[in-house]
Amino acid sequence: MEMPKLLPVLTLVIVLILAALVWLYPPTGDFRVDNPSWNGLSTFTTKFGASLVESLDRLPSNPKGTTLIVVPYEQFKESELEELRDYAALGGILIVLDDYGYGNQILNHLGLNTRFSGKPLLDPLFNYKNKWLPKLTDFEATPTTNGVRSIVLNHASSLGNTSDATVIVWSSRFSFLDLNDDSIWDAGEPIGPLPAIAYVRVGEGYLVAIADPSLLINSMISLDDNLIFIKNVMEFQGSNPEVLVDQNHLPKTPLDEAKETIATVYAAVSTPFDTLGLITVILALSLTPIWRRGEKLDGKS
Amino acid sequence: MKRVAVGFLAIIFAAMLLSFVYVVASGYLPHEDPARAEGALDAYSFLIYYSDILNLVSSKAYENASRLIEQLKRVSVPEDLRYVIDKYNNLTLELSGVLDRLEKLLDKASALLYQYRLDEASQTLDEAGILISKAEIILKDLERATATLSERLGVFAASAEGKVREAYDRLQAILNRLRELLDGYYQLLASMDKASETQRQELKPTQVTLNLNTTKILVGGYADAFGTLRSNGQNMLNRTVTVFLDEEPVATAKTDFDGSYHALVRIPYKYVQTMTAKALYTPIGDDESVYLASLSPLLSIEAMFNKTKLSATAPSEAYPGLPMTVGGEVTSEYGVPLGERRVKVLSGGVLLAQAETSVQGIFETQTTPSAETPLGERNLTIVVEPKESYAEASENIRLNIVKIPSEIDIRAPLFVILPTGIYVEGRVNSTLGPLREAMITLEFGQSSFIVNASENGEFNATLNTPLNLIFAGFQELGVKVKPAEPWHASAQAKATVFVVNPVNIGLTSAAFVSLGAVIYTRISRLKPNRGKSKISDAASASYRPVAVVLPLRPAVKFEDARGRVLEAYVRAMKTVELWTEISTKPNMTLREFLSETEQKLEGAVDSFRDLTILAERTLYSPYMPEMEEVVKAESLAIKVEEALKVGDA
Repeated sequence: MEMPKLLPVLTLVIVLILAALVWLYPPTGDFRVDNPSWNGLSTFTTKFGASLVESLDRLPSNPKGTTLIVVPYEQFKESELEELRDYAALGGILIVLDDYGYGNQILNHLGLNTRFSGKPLLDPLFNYKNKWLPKLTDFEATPTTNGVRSIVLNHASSLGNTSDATVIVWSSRFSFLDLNDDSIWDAGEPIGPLPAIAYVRVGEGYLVAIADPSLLINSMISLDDNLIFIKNVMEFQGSNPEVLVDQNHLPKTPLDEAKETIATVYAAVSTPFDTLGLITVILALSLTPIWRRGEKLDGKS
Repeated sequence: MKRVAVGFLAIIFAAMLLSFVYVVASGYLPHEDPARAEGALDAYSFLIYYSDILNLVSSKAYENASRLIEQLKRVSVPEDLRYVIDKYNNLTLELSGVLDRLEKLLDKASALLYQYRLDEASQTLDEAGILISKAEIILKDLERATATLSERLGVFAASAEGKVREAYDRLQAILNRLRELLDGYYQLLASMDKASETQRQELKPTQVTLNLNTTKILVGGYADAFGTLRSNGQNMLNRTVTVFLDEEPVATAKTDFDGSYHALVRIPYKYVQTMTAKALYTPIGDDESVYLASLSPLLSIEAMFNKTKLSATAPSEAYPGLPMTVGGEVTSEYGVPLGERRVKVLSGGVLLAQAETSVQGIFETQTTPSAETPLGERNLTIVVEPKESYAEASENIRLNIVKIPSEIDIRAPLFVILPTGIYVEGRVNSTLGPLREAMITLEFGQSSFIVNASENGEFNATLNTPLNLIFAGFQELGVKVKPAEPWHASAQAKATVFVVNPVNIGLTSAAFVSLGAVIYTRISRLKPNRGKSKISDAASASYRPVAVVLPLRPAVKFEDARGRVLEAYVRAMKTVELWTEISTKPNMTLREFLSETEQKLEGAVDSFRDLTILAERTLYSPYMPEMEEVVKAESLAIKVEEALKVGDA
């Protein structure tokens, strides 16, 4: 076959192979429940039997006995904030894990004073390997800290204005908030103990603010007592809650977008008429040379 | 070109996969892989922390110091420093502990000296002396360890004005303070020893005795305690003697003119087999600086009490959130009912309920395990509190906290053609009735849907199926139930649905048909080329009309002048085949075909012979026919067709 004729076919084949690879390749995005890599939540999802929430308007109408995990790395719509407020007010446990994202949008909408500081919390002494991985050992005695001696955070932030919240975990007094991003403590920068995790009663439920979403990732969940602590927090209002995870407020990697595109294309051709149409086009294109040849031979004869 | 296209697409794909690390809007990385994170120990923070600990030690805040050292054990340190730091931590902890005990012993010795209890004070001071020596050794070790640790932390390589050096200097200053503290303790010990010796030389010794009228007595009862107080054989009048039972003062008495004293001692409600009694005289008032204190020899008392018998009943199983009843009977060991006895029900040390026995010794109370109670077996402890001469009684009952099993009845289609919504309905209940408001999670493939059960435990939902690679086959529909009531257990059930995905089947079939078509086309185009090549080789070897395989008709490619000649021959050959009903065979040459058919060709024989020669020359030699020969070949073919009158047909 000549090159001009070969190239479209070759391109089509490669595109199809790539589409299959993209679909089958596990997601690599941070905090993705089906990402088995160090930065994913697959371990958390498996251990707690977590389910994905398609969208916040599909939250259960009776949220008692459920826990919703939100990593707010994308902005929320007003309607979504309303859904979150209703969820907590009706008895759900809303766990907002944020360091440098949009968690304050939720706290603000719920009328709380507590805020995520949005600045790195560094601890040059009490840490796991380096100051970006602070180790927290100062806990308030609550059911959430039963059996917990230390937890490790990863590029975490801290909480501020916690007057209306109950702080359950504090950073060490050697920690500090690196306001000017030079990784060392400078005069005027807040020093520890700084609140890292707190909870607030909202209606019949609770909001738990955790200043580091990385607590849940595969590479962190087994460090120190992170797993026990996470379990305790989720069982704040009762054991074995139904765990729901919102992934709609995470940025998408190119791979995620490619998967979505494939899903959209597939969905588009999934209707009976579109499927028939596509099959017809494929068959017409592939059988045309044979048909033409037969016609030519017949004509000559 | 192909390679360029493949390479380009591969680069796009690789870039797509590798570009998963992103930075959030604020510009900070959300995390790093802890397994690959580089370890770094901050010498400044470390030295400051040790300074803080030793500062607390030097301020005699030993408990706080120990707490900080315990916390330090959770700090991650590089392996090469681990041993030195562990050793340093242990030394600091040990020093803190020794100084703490020393402080307490010196306080005790001081109090004993103040009461002129020289014998006990001397014994305590001896113990304190041993501890000071031990602290001295530990402090020396700690000073050496500080030097080693500082060297390993790079303190001496740091600039003299730097923060690390500043922290080191601070630590050294605190170590000096510790040495001063230790010196202070030495001086205190020496002064106490001196005071003790002075008292022993200057004060008069005393002797106190103790007797009891009985050595076997019921708790709550009374015993007479009596004895004498003398100094160097002389009776001591109007002095206070204190009687102790198990280190607790239980009575005091004044001595009489003959030095004797008498006290009525009430035996406390301690339900133990034996107690120890002693009498103590401590000089007060005018006796201070005149007499020494004295302690009587120890006496043993056998305590007696009545036993309480408890017979408790409780269910072997209980449910979180549902009340259960605990009851029983309390009697003496001889079966006499004991009324007005307080009964407590505990689990893991936590009080669950309490009640009081009736006149008949019967009690009954209800308790509700909390909704968060962990499942499994535990001890339920029923305790009857002691009352007067009746001792405490308790009984442990094994209680299994369980949940009532939930049952799920699912009704789902057995067969589904995608794409479609799958309608699922069902009912959830337990032995207690329907599970109201239970949360039902339906999972099919990768999609899930949550719905709440109605008041009568029924539910229904339509599941939309997502992107699915299945063609046809059985798929599981999972249903998970989380009841609203804590006493009901979660449950899950599965149903199997046969799924047919016509989209995938259709697309795959079309792909296979297309592939088949492409392969077919390729093969049919390749065959003439192979024929040409063979003919060419054969032609170059010899011009002899040897037996050569005729090319298969479907693979003949009629292009250029040579093609037109052969096309003309093939047309004529078909006509001849139809006319003579003789077909060409794979092993037949053109000339053999001519010789087999020429007798039946009648008027077409010459034309077909000429055409055969022309075709043979075109086919077997590299010669390219001239245009006249092409025209001649086509003309001969027409003549053959006309002569045999097949072409019109």
